[in-house]
Amino acid sequence: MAMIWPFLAGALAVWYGIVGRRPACFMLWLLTFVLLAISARPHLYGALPFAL
Amino acid sequence: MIFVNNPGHGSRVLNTLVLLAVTGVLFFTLVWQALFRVPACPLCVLQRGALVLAGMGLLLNVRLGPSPLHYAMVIGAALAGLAVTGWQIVPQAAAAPDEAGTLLGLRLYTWALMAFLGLMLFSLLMLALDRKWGDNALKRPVALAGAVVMGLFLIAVLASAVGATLDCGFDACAGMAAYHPAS
Repeated sequence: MAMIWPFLAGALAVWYGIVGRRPACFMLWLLTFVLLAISARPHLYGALPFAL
Repeated sequence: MIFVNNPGHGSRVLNTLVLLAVTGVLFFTLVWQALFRVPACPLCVLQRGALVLAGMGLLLNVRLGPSPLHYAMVIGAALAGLAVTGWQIVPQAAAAPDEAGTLLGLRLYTWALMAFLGLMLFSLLMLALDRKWGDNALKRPVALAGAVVMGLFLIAVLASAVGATLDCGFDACAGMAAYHPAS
């Protein structure tokens, strides 16, 4: 998934925050969080180079 | 119900200052990456995303007044940022730092770690000290400085979207190293 989507959703959330619409801002914040988590998944794979 | 026009004025000013700092960091990282031609770094983009998420909580505190929900948004985002930053720091902790990728002797992701810890500490302190206003979602008048900072934050988020696209193209940075040793 393109990395731009979380930031576009974030920009929309910021816009709703600026106009004072908290429910919309918060739902878009959650969407941004989920999109970032999906984007992060391929990069947080793999084992660390040592044992914990 | 609180019958005052501008509740939590002091904390809104503090939140404005912290939001300004977050905005400054977002712009700084984009400029740094452009100036030093740092290779694409997916984890750095993700850290920027976590900063954007934290900034939204601060922005709601500025726009609507302080609320535990807004501080929870900041703490949640900072925790996610800490996880990503930790994932970047741990494998490289023993490697010698590259001068080009350091600021005041520390790698940028170490600064990112401190920024996320600072955001968490700020939110925890505000939750403990600034708890008399409760929760509400009523619009409040915003000072010009606050409006300017919120506008700058929106521009920083849009610039980060452009930066992420320039870094990763239209995929999830697939095939790129998760981190760059010097960044």
